Amino acid sequence: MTRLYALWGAGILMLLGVAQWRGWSLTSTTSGQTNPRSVRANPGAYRSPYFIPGRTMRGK
Amino acid sequence: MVNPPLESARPRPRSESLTCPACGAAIPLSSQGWAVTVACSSCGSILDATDPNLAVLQRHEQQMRVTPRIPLGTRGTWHGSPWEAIGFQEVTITVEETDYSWTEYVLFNPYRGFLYLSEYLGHWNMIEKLHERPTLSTEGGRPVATLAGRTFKHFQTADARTTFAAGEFPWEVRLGDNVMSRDYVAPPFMLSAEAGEGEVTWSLGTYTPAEVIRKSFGIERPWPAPSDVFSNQPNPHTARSGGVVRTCLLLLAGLVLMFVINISMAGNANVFESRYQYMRVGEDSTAAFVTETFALTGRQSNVEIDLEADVDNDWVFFSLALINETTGIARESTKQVSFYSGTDSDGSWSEGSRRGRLRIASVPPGPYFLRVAPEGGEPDKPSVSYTIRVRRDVPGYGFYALAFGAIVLPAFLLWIPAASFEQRRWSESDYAGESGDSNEEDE
Repeated sequence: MTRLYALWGAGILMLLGVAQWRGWSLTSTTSGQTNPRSVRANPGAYRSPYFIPGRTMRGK
Repeated sequence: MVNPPLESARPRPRSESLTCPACGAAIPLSSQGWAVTVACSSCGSILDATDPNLAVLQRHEQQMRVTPRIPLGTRGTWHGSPWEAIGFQEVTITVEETDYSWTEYVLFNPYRGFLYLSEYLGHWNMIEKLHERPTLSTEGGRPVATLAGRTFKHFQTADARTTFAAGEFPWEVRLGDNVMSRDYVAPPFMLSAEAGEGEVTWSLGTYTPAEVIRKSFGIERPWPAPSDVFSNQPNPHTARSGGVVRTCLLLLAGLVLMFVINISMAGNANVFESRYQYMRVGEDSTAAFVTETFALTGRQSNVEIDLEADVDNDWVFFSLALINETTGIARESTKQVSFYSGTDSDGSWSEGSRRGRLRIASVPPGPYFLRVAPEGGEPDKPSVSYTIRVRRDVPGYGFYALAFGAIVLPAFLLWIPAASFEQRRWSESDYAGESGDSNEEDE
């Protein structure tokens, strides 16, 4: 049992090391392909996946 | 194991009668004159074994009300030597008006002397008298005894009295005799001090599984399984939980080391910072813009975007895209920054923050720019100034919290049975209800 637990813990530490080295994050972002020139030329025309036409946002 | 009795120091066999002078029942004498008293198995009278006529020391008229699990006269083998059960007594203590009784057996070998067995609720101890006195002291406010480098913790002190006796005894046994019994435990061992009439007798008990005793004495009839936890019963979970706890501490030390290395080695470089003003011109797209290109260097790592907006009872919603100038891959996220404050009947209040932070994972090196689209806000606030700051290779702590939980939780779950066993052990002691002994069994 102790050996199994040691393996588990070592695996956790290794995973943590990889996560830190590779820059993993607990939060996620949406990734997509776009044309940088097009975005530069007309930033307002770029529609992100979060864009919801006609939405109403409230701060409070 | 006790030493054989010294020839010159012991009385010669003098008993000539083999019948009880009180009831006439036959009394087998097996100890070859080493017994001091004999309890008649038939009537319970205590007889003087050193008297040629077996003088009655204490007269009783009792039936054999306690049946020994090892019948008197039974011979067994212990550590390679033959031993015969020649005496049996029941000892009782009273705690909070409740009687607790255990039984003790006298074992005899003419060349090795006497050994003793005790049994309580199926828990057996092989006991030998000590010829040295343990060292007594206190530890953490509790009495402890030390013998041969081993520390025994005080478990219980009680007045013990003999409530039944049968067979031969190398001491003057009397029904109703009281001794002050003090037990110290260091599983699987137990030190017992019995004090009475100006003398203290120390003995060392070793917890022995019932099956071992039963087979040693060739008892075929099965005995009831032990119930509850005995004072010096070895904790079956200790070896496992002890190893796990040590491993857990090592892993936590590794976690701390990784944390320190992570903090010291993280680049945490500020790669872009600029201040902007968001003019609220309606909910169209004119507020969107792109930043100048900045370089993310080094290995694939995270990127943190810090937003700091001068909002006061106001809010701004940011849509952000980190776009690779070369590959066109866009990583998108959103963040709302809002800060409200005021006063009411409870005093001043505030909620939200003027700062927002979002993290983008695993971003390869390369040239990047941000597409920023602020929107929303209170209609009566015409503009908001804000700062965007981009940092590269920022140390993150969330994974450490998860790793800590993943390391500690299994250890805790494995430790619970051992702690529960110890709690049950000490609940029967003089220290029931006190903390501090739940996991302190010597390994």
